[in-house]
Amino acid sequence: MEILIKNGYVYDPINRINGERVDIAIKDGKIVSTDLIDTRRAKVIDAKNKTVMPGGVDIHSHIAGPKVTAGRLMRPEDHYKVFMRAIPGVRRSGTGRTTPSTNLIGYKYARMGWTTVVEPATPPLETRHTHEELDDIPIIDKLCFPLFDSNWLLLDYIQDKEYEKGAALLAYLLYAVKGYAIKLVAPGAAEAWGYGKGVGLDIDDAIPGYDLTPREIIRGLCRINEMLKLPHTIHVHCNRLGFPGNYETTLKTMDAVSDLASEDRPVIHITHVQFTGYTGWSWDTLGTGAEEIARYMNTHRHVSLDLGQIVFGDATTMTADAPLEFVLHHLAPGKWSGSDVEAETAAGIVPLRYRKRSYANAMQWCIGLEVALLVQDAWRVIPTTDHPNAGRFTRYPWLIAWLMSRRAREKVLKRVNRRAASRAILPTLDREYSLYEVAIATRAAPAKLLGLKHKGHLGIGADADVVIYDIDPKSIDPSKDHAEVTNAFRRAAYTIKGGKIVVKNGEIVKHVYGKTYCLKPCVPHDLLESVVEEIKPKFREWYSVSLENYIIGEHEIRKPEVIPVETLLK
Amino acid sequence: MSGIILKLITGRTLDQGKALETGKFARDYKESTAICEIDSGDLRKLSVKSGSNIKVKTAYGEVVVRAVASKASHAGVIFIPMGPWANAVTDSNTHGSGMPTLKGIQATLESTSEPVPSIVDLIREVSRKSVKVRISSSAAPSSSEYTLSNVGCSFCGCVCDDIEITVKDSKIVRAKRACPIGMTKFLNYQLERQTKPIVRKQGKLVETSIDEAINMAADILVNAKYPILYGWSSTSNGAMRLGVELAELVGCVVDNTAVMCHGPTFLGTHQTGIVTATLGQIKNRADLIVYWGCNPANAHLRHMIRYSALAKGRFVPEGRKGRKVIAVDVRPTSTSKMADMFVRVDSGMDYELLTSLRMALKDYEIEAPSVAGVDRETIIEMADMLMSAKFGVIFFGVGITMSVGKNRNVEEAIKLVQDLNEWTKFVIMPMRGHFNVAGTNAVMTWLTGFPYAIDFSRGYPIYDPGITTVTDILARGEADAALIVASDPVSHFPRDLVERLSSIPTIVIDPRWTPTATIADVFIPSVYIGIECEGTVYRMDKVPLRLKKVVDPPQEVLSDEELLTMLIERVREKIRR
Amino acid sequence: MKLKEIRLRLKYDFKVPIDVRCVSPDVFAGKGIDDIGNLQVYEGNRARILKDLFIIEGEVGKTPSETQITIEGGSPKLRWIGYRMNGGKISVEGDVGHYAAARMHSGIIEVQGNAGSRLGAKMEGGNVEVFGNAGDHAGAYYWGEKPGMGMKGGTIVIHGNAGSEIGGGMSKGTILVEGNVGQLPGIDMTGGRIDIEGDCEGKPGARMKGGRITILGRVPMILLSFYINNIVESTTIGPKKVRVEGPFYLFQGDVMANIRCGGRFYVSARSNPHLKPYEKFLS
Repeated sequence: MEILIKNGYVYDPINRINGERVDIAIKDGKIVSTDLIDTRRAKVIDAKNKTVMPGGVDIHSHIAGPKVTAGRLMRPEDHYKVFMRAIPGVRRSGTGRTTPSTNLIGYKYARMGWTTVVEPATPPLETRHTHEELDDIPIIDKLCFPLFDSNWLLLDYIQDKEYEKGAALLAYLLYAVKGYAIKLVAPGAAEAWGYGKGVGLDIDDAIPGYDLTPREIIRGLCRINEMLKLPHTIHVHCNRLGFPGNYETTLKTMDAVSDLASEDRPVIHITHVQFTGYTGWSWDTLGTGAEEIARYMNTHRHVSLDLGQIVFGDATTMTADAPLEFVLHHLAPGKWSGSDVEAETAAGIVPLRYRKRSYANAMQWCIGLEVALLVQDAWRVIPTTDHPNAGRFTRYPWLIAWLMSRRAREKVLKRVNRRAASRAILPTLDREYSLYEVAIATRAAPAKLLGLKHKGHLGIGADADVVIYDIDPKSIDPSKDHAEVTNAFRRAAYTIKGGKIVVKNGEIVKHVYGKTYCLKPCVPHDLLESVVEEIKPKFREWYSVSLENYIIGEHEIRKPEVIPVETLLK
Repeated sequence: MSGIILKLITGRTLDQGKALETGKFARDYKESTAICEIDSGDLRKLSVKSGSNIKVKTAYGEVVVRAVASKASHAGVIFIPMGPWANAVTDSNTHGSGMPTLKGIQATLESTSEPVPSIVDLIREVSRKSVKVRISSSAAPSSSEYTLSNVGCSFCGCVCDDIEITVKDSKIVRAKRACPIGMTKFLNYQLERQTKPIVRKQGKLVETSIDEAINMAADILVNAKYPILYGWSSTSNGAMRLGVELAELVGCVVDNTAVMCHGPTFLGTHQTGIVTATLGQIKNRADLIVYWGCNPANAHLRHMIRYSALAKGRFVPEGRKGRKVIAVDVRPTSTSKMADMFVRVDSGMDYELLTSLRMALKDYEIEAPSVAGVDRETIIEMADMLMSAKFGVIFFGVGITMSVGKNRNVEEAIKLVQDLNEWTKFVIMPMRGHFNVAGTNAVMTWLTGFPYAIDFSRGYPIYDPGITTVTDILARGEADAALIVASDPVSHFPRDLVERLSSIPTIVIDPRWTPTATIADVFIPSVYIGIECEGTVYRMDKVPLRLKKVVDPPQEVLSDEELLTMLIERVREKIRR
Repeated sequence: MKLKEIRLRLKYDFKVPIDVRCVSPDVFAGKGIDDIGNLQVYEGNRARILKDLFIIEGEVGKTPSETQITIEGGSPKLRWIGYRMNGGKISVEGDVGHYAAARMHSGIIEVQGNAGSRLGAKMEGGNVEVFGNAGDHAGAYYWGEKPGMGMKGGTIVIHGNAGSEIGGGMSKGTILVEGNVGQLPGIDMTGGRIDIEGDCEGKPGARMKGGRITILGRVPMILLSFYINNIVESTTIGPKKVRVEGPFYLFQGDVMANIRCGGRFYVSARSNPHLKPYEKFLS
């Protein structure tokens, strides 16, 4: 199928197109040169007075896996009021607000014009489950990040500083579970939780049972990541998340690997930094650490981050930071789920509600936006809501409005806790993102940070994931007309995925399945064999499944896209 | 007849488990399942001889079974293994929970000279359709010999994946390391099979083509206004996905066997969440194991050696010696025999015992000298043991979910574990029965938002166990057609639900000619997951495993996934017209 | 204000569940008979219209409060009758199925026969009267909802028996059962009252934080998380606050739900001689 999008104002930061009128041609699922299109047969879309962007890329959103399903299971009430009816031949049905069912996830992302999403935390032993769920999410392309910071097999190598073997093992495990990047969540906290400990574990605290601190784990995995030359950096949820005063730990975490950066690119990605950006020593004295974090970001280029922006209303916190969830269970009495995963990691899930009149919640809301507005480099600051922890991903259109319009921010600030509004820096910040910066932050930058060469841009050879928004950059002033901006991003005029039109006027018109990206890092055969032989007896002793059955076959995934990676291992 | 009031409980036994794999129409099944275990003292009081026939009566029916003297003592409690004989006297009323009451039923019994009915007799007593048995064995397609290792077992929720299978002439001849029940399945799966589609035409059973059977099945589903799609727990996740798609397309109810087993566990989880772990974590760390209302020695045979009481783990290298084991049950069992402490709880009073433990933890005064038949000192001692564990776990089974209180019992157990986390590390885990009941629940949860009992009649998922559960729908005669996949409700539903099922057009997809197939209008044979085709299943702790294909299936027999795909296509065509 | 009556007669015996949430005075009021006949209903998964299922005769008022809907006969398959009803009257001469009076705001519903489950679920006002038996979860919350999300107002009177978990999660309102009830009445209740003239099968008031339960008949046991507080001479039951002579044991609890034991539970001493040992805790 051939498509020609004419007359649209294109925002393609990777190819430095800033709102010019460019025609975009699509053929066989890819962007091609316009002269390859037969305009008599092609579907011609007139994007006059509209904005054209690459499909959105969400670098961190909990959409699939055992903890997501555990979240759904404990919140049937989250599914009674929000639902979508099936339209036979067009779309399937679904339910759920903060823990939507799989079809709803795909459709709701597509309706906003997002086409690639990362599930950022999957326990390796149960990643087969994650892939089954990802396979049932329609339209979007997917990736998942397995958790490695409390992995018994890896911790031995890191403790003994055997980085080459550690890298070989990690490459083996990463391909075994068909993952894409190395995820750390409050490194070491999951291991401590096996003892019932780990609340507030800080970066230089000892991890029970090991001669290791979280800092050493972060550095060890960072080195391994660099040795394997994985397309994304280590993806880190900092220690002491949620604790007042934790911004210091965040800065230490960022700085912990500053010497491991060689080229002018990030070596660490700090995720949902809002949750780890607090000054103060209690919930009443919670303050913003955004300035300090932004200062570091503006003077160091080896760090990227995403926001984890709060959205007021219902949320469901779900993370591998099980000790934190135990604390939340006490702060927000009600339901609490948790799961330990043998020899690897843990999880906790607690429903939460963010309230405007709460001092702490209002402060949290300000902090995320402050970071986004104070960090100058839009290529290293990604807006997310850490769905569904800080808010649901369906609120991105509002988040974009808050970035683009001071007025939109003030509208919210007027109704939040007064003390928070007076203590936050946000009211003093004038900066407003341009449409170009929004395109960077939500498309170009995350694609680049993930190393996905065919995503996030509309150059020749890119995947034909294209969105047309009903925004006329010539006539709209996003600062004033932020409500229009929100509406436009809520319901894309067109979403094209892999060269197929899947959304028209904000409604799903086609149910298709995207690809799942995973990596196959190349490890020299002898090294790999010796490492596997070494871990086999440990595996047998520690795990409750056989190594053979731990490994996920490519044929088990609907549309796997295995990317080989040339590593530095000899 | 004596005036002793007895409490009837039902459940799994080792012999019943093996026998259902060798065939439900065969003699072994009747010998092992049409029995009633009675305390020796009660036998004497009732003047009944062990080995003689007795008639068991409850408010819900009566059945003749063979009396067996129990080796253990459990005065006042009688036990009939789960199956069609037990279900002649169980209560189909779910009391708003979706789960019939299968434990703690008031019963009387008397000697009788009547014979023990066969399974076909039992079905005929209630069935509105004529009951026929059409079993054969599958032929071996080819000749070869090979051994496969790390094969996963497709019987119970343990899904042991260390089995070594030897195949000779396309028959499995050895299943090394499998437990007796798993081994029985591997060695006997080809018994009581029917490899041709069979349909009921004018009361007669006729062999037909897959295409015609699919066509008739599609007609049944499309013409019905409120069909139910039930079973699923013994097939793969791939098949379950198609089941959900089919239910959405037809606009009907889809439900799995959790409704009869751990449905109440979901209802409890909805209220409190659940704090759990994978089985390897238990193996490696747990130094206190509580088996509450479950009997792994009978129903999950390798659970203890692979994952729990007897397992050797990283921080518990001494295995059993490094652990304390508590068993809580209404009567002594093979599991309680190997426990350090056996707590005998009154039937239907688990909720109260759990509450007393929660109260003991918080130092609230327990006024009564005993609760649920357990004296206060024992309760406090048990609470102390729980609090002083380094890592404790409660494994619970249908002893809690099926007896009075049901979902609220589970809720209280989860709350106890959540409370214990104030003192020490504690988790809880349901002992899921079938090898993929957990997986099919997970598939339904991520596709619809709800774990089972989903009603698509309005075009989107609606959930309300007690109303949308298949048990309640059948009890009220609300279903007008049924598709049963990989399950045998005729053997395991209370009798009046079997009657309802027999009065509506029924499609059965199963590798075997099961007792449910005897009342089918359309029977389509399928292949065994984990033996004749690959499939993803979830263990009881939801660890996902990919079962292997070990032998080729019989010729022309398709997998559940292939059949459901065909059925969906055909239904779609018919709806379009 | 004269009540206008519209009568619905079942055209045939329903087998599958019928969703008749349109049968409500505020939906009917001011409409012509033709329009009423064209209202959408569901028979299983089939979209139908009301006149496919019922013969409709009579007239409706201009406002809900002038409208009475009478169903001649009834069926246990009829679901959602009077859903979100706001005024007027529904009279069913036979049985109804599940969800009758769910989320009702005001008005009157009378059922001569039996009702199914979730009668008056999450209702906020109005009066429901069932002359036969009711199923489970009357006046209750839905699965997963927290305490207090059940019935928020109004009254439910059941002349026959009721099932399990009635008044689950209720925060206000009154439920009166003249017959017996099943297990766990008043579970998770935070307010309101449940009065039971017959027996209770067990576990009354589990997890209650507030409100009151009265049982005139027999209850096999009191939950151990309740503490006896007093013996009272008499108490009142029902929406009309009829006085009944005791003595009644007054228990307070559930200490596991709230250490303040805000729930009150009155149980007849005469019907429950086996509870006499509790008297020793009074001093």
